[in-house]
Amino acid sequence: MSDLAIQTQSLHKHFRALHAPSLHALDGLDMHVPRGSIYGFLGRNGAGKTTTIRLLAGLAHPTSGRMQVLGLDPQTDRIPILERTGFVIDKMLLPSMNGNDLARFNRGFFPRWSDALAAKYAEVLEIPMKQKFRRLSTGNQTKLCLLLALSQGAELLVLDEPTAGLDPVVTDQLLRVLVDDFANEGRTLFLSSHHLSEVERVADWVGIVDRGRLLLEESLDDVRAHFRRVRVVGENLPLASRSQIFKAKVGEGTTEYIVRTDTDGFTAELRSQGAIVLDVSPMNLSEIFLEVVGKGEANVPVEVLA
Amino acid sequence: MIIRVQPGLGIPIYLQIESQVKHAIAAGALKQNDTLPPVRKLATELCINPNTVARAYQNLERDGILRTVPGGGCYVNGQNPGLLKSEKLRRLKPLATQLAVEAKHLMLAQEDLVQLLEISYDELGEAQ
Amino acid sequence: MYLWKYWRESRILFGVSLLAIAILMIAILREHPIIGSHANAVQLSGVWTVFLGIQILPLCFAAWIFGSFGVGRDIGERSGSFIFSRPGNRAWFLWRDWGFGLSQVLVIAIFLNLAGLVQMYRILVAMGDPYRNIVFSQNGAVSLTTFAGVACLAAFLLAALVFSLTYFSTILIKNARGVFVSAGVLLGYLVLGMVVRHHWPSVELPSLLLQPFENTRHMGDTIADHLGLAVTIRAAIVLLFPFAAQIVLKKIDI
Repeated sequence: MSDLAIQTQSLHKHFRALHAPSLHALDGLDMHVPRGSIYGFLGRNGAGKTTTIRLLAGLAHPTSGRMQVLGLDPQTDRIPILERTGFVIDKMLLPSMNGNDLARFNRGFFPRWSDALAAKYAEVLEIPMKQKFRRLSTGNQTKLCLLLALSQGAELLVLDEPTAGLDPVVTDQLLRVLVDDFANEGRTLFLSSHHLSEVERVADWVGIVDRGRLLLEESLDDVRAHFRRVRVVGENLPLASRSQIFKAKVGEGTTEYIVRTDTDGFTAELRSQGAIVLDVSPMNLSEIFLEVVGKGEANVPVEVLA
Repeated sequence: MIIRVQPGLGIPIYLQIESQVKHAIAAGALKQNDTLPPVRKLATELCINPNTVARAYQNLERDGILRTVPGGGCYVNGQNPGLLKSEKLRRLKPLATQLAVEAKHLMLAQEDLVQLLEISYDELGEAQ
Repeated sequence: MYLWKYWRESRILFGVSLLAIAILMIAILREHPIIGSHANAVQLSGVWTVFLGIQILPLCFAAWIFGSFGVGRDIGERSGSFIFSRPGNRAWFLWRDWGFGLSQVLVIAIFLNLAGLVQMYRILVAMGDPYRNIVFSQNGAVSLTTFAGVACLAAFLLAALVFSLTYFSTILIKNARGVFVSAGVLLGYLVLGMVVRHHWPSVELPSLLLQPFENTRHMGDTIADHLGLAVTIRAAIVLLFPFAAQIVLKKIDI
């Protein structure tokens, strides 16, 4: 058995429209999600997160490339994958059914369904199970979707922007339940998001996708330990030609480097050349994301919101 | 003992946990044979990845600061006698370098820096 | 348990339809048909036209609405990603919806024709002999039950066509608004038939409704040739749509 819960190789998805140029939603995605991890799949709107997840669920067909979920190909072995994976994609269930109906509906599909778990989550998340789905608030709708996925007894959970549009209280509730469930059941959790502060708490792996390609895929601890922002004053400084320099920005009198590894060595070398290192600061996930995706401004940790 | 982590700091969370535990032990808030919460409980409470908590606990155990008992339970081991002095110095060297660099930038005299260290040490001793 | 979902969506329409038929039945049973003295011979094709004419519109309307339930509508309401991320073949979902909906249409058709049968019976009783067959010229007679049975078959085949076409349309455009596509197609076919008849009077497009009884000038009413074949072809066309829908469903992105 592979030690990757999900992987993709050169995954491409093109949408052909009659009166518009073809849209390359995925442009060669190579992704590796380790088993037992919490993987944060980060990207802007339209970067390809939802498309990827739909492909993994077998809802859409790739243009080219390969993918494996739990070692199986969604194109040929869709059903075993769906039996072992909980997907929450559109956060829309069946509008005319209430929570109990939906649990009953879902139960028949999954041999490992647990009514006890469903009841527990209904209580913990305070979901009104007797109200029709279409009458629930957005927060309750999302919570119910999550309840169904968690009660399935799945090995892998794939959630598309589970906290989008939710208030901070509900977001906190959801994340706690996810972490608690994850800790107890040893699942793999794959979630896409652009609420970076939440991902920063719970993820141990991050993949940053932009325009259908993965720009960065690393363990979050490594990213946090190695990415540094270095501000320097000096002449004839090396620009972004070296592999450890992610980016360089020249301002009035100072140059700012985003360094991805071995910052100490880099700063030592700069000092040996007579440059004055003003500061070396760590970067939070927001800042790293903004730099990686190319739109970052210096030292402005801005939350990228929905 | 209350552990708090800040994911946005740019310091890996497991390191934050480790340093908080060490700090608590050094300040006497955690004594020998006190228990730390189990991995799952701490992870859920802080709403962070259980693997992160596990890693912190593993590192602390490797360093001889914690011990885990089969059947659950994480106990504090008391002060760390096992390491050679040379190893202890090696571990503190990066912090010392950092202090020296900062002091130099601020143009603080060496004696003042040494005094600062002594004060910090005394503060820890008082809390015990 | 999945059939239960379709039932939940369609039960109101089904219940209302049966209720309407029940009310109709009550009205039939309470009223005494008054027949004039000139009604000695019952003209078959005339009876046929009236019998079918009354029931086609409501039955096809119900079938049209039934065709809007199921996976096409689900995809349109964005529940598609939930339904199709349940473990199961897409075809499985499709056929269960289609089969269940068609069964409901069949039940309604049967009850409707049963009510018609009762009404016809009461008319014949009012005319004299209750065991009187519907005689047509010198070519023979057909019993009342046979007549009602054939009528039911014809009405059901038409309703099934409407249902199947509508069901396919909702899947094709991934939305419950497929009902308008199918309505457009059916109306378009009728219009086309009129246009063809106008320009080329000898040519006639096949009728949407089975025509088992013909009225010819020389022989009066006759039973149409190749009735079995006609029924088979119509049934095949009805089945064509879910198979086509299966192909479409397999290919599309949800």
